[in-house]
Amino acid sequence: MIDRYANLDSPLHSLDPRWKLLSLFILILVCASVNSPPAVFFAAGAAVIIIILSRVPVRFVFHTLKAPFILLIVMIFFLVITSGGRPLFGLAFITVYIDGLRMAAIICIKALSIMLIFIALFGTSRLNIIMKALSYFGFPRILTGLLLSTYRYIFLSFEDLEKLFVAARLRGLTLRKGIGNTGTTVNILATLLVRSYEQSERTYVAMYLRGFSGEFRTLEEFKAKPIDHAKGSALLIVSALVLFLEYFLRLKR
Amino acid sequence: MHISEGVLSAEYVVGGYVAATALTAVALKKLKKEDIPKVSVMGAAFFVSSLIHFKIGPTSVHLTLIGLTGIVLGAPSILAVLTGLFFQAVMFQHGGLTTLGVNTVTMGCSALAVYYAFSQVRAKLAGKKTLLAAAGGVFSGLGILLATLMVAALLALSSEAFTGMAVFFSISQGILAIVEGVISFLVIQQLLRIKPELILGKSPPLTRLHDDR
Repeated sequence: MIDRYANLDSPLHSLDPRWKLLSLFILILVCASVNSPPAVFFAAGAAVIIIILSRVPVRFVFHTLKAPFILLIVMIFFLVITSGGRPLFGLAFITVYIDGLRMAAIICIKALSIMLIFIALFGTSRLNIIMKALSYFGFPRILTGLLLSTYRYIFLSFEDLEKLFVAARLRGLTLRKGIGNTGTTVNILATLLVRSYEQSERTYVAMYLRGFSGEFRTLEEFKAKPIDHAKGSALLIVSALVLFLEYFLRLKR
Repeated sequence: MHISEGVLSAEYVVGGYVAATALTAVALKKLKKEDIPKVSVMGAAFFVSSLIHFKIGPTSVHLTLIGLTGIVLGAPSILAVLTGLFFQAVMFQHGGLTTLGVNTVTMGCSALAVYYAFSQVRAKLAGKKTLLAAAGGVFSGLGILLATLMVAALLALSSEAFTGMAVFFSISQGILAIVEGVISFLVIQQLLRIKPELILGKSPPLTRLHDDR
């Protein structure tokens, strides 16, 4: 789980969640919007420093990045061989293009920086705190409430699914390889949906009886100290520097 | 099926967020109080279901179940899509935060299109369960193709260099669309057998508690 290390102590953990959300979200958007190598490399450096400051264990970071990185590499492979432009070399029926390679490198570095900042944002606060910060910025409360209750039910659904698979195995329905698997899996899927549907009815009745008004409430209170303003502003300055590198160098050219 | 982090340029990221905000705002406005738990519990169930791998021949695929989400949840399915994509980004770093807007629009519109198409035939085919399930399967497959087309168009528009990548993407998703259609057909058929109101959309007695409004 991404917020497994939300209880550590670091400059990022102690930062006011509102400042953290605002400044890191802006930095993520800025990272996504730049394309010139100096800006991209500067942003990547900043992302690495931020993740080091967050004290989230390196092994966890690598573990989190592994799957999306493999997907990224597959996508990038197609980009390198289909982008067109100047060819670098050809192997059998595959041609590798210089422009594609350059673009691929930029996309890879950008994606990695964004993912690192993402881990720094969601890995250093519990999700309910981030949701509370989101509603501070005017994000509809009903949506944050929906997100939080979905989060909870994802784990319950996982448990349900696990139980259904165990039950199927105990009844001797071995999940064979090949198409024979599909029938059993479809039945498990349908049962999971029906169970969840019935669960949602019971949940609604329970909420209704407790006087649910369509709004979710929390008890967390935020207090920003001067040090939070300093740290938040520093992060905003990093974003400004990345943009400066992108547009200043473009103008100079 | 979603666009990864770092691929789209700023204008597409912002445009995606603007469009997704508009869609979400409409869905929230139309969301009834009694549908809130349904969207979150079913949203979670669809999220978890989409992680099941189906072994098809030598390979295995995992589905998006986007059509089924649309059919079961109706107009609020866009909220389930948004939360699903958000948690895919938060839990597995798939998709991403910058592309959340764009992905919500492509997947959400496809869920809504399937819902709309299915609701047109639902009443007419209510007695013929196999035919109704088949229609659901076909619409779900077409929904995947619609989302694929939107993603491919976005990729090709955002940079000429992505055109080849968009073509490869479309071909692989075309195969997924067939698998998704077949599985959706089977699941709908099974649901019609054990809990028809999930597909036929009649509200169960418990949620009629609200008649005192």
